[in-house]
Amino acid sequence: MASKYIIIGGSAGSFQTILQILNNIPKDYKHPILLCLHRLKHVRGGFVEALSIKSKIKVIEPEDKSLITASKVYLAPANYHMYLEVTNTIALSTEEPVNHSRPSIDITFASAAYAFQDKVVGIILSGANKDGAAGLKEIKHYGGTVIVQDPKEASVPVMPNAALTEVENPDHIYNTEQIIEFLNSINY
Amino acid sequence: MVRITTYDLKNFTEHLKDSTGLDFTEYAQAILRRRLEVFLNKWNIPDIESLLIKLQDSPALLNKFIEHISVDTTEMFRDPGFWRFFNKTLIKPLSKLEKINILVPFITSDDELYTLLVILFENNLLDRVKITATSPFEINLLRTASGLYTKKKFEIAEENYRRYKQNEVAEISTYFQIINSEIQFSTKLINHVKFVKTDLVSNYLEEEDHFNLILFRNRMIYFNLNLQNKILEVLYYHLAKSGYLIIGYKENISNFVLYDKLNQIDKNEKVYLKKR
Repeated sequence: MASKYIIIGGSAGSFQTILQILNNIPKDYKHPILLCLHRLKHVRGGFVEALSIKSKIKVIEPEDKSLITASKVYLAPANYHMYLEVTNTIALSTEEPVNHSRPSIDITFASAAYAFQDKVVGIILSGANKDGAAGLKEIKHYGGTVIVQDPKEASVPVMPNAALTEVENPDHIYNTEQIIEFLNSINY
Repeated sequence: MVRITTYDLKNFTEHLKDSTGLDFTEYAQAILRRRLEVFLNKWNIPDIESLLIKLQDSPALLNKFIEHISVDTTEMFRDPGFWRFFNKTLIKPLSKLEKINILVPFITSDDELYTLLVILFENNLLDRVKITATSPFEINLLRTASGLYTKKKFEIAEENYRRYKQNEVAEISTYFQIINSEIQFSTKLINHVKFVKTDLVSNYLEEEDHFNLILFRNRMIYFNLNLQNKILEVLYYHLAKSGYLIIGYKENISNFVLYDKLNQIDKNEKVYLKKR
């Protein structure tokens, strides 16, 4: 079991932010990072490679029931939902899209919230729909930390704004630099 | 919003098994939990105790429940690149066989089965093929056999089929008919399928049945490792020598005890050949 689980959700306009975050996190980061990003349904490959160019940590697309370990970035595969299980593993599913999305950020957030409770740090970035907002509420309910990208900074602020509407008292509203600073401050 | 704990889940699946015989005790927990929560919210049922009572009282609700839990959410020609691989690489060796025996286990609606039928038809193989489709749930078998299809899924099928065909002009609609304003997959094609009610583990297929192809993509993800391995053992037994076992490209069977008796034939697709 890891001591924290960093779960990041993003859609339109989040790619550069993700690259910046991954570029500024050390290779031996003490926690696993799980990415749920809206992506093209029919394109299997390429995304891991695109993220790996800037990332110091190893980026992988997990298979079903993979173990979650520290110092790794897990990217939700195209056209699958990505759940986190109490057994510290990944569960993939082909269930119907949620918020028109598969992978859906709500599913990853909510399953992480239940499985790892106050160990979860949920971060929502730029995007054009409300996916992730309900999941962040679950993270808050189970005692985790909620971080919303500052809508003023987000290139498409719909998703951060939806999160701020849904979650009454998010722990932090941060810009990219502050997110990076926060992630490094809990690297122990 | 109703929230369910691991304890609730265990309690519920065990009671359901005792009272109805339906066994979800070895399903993947996180997914099952969410599906249960969605079902409770949708039907306005306050907790799992009430759900248990309602399921025992109402066969109609029980069927809705089974359909919901067994996840009817694949698409025809899901992952078109895989189906192109299938058409290009597997049809040839299969067409050399005098009789082609195919198993599609744990069907739900099932789009994988319909996709397979279209490809076999387009390769003129249907007359030589015997397809067995199984499910532990009668309702899934009935629905698949009926061919009834939703408009939304039809639109996804159309798009996927065009991607599968790439540059060719292709319309999936030739495989559908509209009857009383309902969309129905070709019954002429479905007639080639034998539907069998079994969960493969507690009640078996015919002992002498050996399959040249077992199409089993994205079904095991809904089960825990223990159930996966039990099912894989049964499938392995029923796989003919030099038969193909196909699983989803994000599924992993490397922990299966007989894994070294299977050869993965392609580095990108999880297609395994049973060693001689």
